[in-house]
Amino acid sequence: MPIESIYSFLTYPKNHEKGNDTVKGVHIRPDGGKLCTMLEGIFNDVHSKRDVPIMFVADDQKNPVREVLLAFLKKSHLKSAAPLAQRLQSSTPGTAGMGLFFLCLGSDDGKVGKRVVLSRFAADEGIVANQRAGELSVEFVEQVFLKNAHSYKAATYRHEEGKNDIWNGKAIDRQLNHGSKIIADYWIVEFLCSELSTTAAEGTRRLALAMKEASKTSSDDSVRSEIVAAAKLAGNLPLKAMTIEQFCEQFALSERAKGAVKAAVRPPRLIHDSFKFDAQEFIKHVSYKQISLDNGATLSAPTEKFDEIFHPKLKGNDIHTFATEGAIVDEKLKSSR
Amino acid sequence: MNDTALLAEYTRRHDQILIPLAAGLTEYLEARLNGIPRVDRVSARAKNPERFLAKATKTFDGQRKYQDPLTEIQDLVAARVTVFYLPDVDFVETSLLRYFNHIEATAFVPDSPKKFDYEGRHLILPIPAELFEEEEHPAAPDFFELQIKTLFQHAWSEAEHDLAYKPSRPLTSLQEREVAFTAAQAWGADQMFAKLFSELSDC
Repeated sequence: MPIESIYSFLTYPKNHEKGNDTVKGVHIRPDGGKLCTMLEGIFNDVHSKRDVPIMFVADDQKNPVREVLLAFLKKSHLKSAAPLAQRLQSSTPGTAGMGLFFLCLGSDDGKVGKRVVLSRFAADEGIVANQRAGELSVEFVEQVFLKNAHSYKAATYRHEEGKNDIWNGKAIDRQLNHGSKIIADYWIVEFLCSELSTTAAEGTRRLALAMKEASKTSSDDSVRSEIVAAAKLAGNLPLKAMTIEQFCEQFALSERAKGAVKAAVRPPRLIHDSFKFDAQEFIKHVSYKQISLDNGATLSAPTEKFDEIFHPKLKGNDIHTFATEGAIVDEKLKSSR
Repeated sequence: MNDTALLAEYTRRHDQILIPLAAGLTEYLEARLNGIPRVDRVSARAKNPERFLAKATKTFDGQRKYQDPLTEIQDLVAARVTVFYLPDVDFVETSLLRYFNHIEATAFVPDSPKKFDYEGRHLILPIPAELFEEEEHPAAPDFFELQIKTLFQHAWSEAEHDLAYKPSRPLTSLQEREVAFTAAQAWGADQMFAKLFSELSDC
């Protein structure tokens, strides 16, 4: 059985009247019951493409959450688990409401060391119906957890004794289908004191360069047009987490265009890597759109303003006309385009 | 693992993993610093096996300082960016930290205003994911050390490294004072160039 011990705590949001109280918890012994079976499912559910690599950050190699986790891993009991629950309580915004926090410690078959999974289930409302001695009682309850056992936030870290590890982990948000499209900042930044492993600038640079490469190397005109159109619109995307694959889906790129962009990502596994889109970084790498005509002309302008500057019109039979006007600020002769 | 086995394992990793990683890291950093002015040089190296063993077997209060040197020593791969002037150190650091998370950011300065010694900016950063073909890379380090220095800080630390930082015999008081004097000269040169740069670049 992979889970060795389970600790559970009821946590309130930080602005709740009980938000400053000491969290109450319980040690649950794995007994093969329904709760343990469900938690085991979460413990083993860490290989989805939706999982987000995260890392603890620090200025002096001392991250407060990592320090608490290491202490817990060194000696796991309710007392060493409680600071994590307390931290979750002081990080949870009012909008996230009450939560049931689980800390599961275990190991993976064939792997050295321990793995810890932190998970949180939001409170929900429900109606409980009980039939006793032929009588039915119906009651409205506010503290319902695990109404949907597939809807939770989690994070997992692996640790080998004596090693300088657990800097890296994975965040999991199985509440993505319940409104929020991005993993909650409070879970990663506020609670775990971590960041996405790939920074906004790095991930966006990777995407921009892949699109540039795909538009340059593809021999298919429609693929090039799709990529350029997406690049033009991408500058307006908000700063939110996505993967390169999700970007391609968001702009409804055709399978061929998606394939061209993905083929330009090295190594290919990074198309599933999450990062927050950074419009400023994106523009830096795909700032100019250039069109070459078969009459020898080359037109170039900032990507997002190209159409506004050149007023392109399709005349027919692949013949395009462009019109522009302005004062000449530079003029030069060049040996090549 | 005994010291002989540790050295053999590190030498294998050095040749097969760390040297290519250092080359990849140099290219990676150069690409992210492309277009940033007054960057003199970007370089990265894999720690020499003999130096690794010397560090790995260091003791403190009679105990080995590192339980697991292969994961605990964070400068198995180290990179350095050398810039012209003091303000460029901040600019390069800010620029690079857009592309990296960090677990340490330290500005090394002497602990007293009356002392002159080693100066430089040190960061401990994760090795970029794109330098690893596979997500799991158990034999490669997770982090590298990045130093950002001015030309004078770099020149001083290189010249001082073997003589005073790792001397063959203890330095006399006069020799310690002489080393501090050279540090003061490097510090002074940086201050003057920073001042001149500020005055002349505004013209």
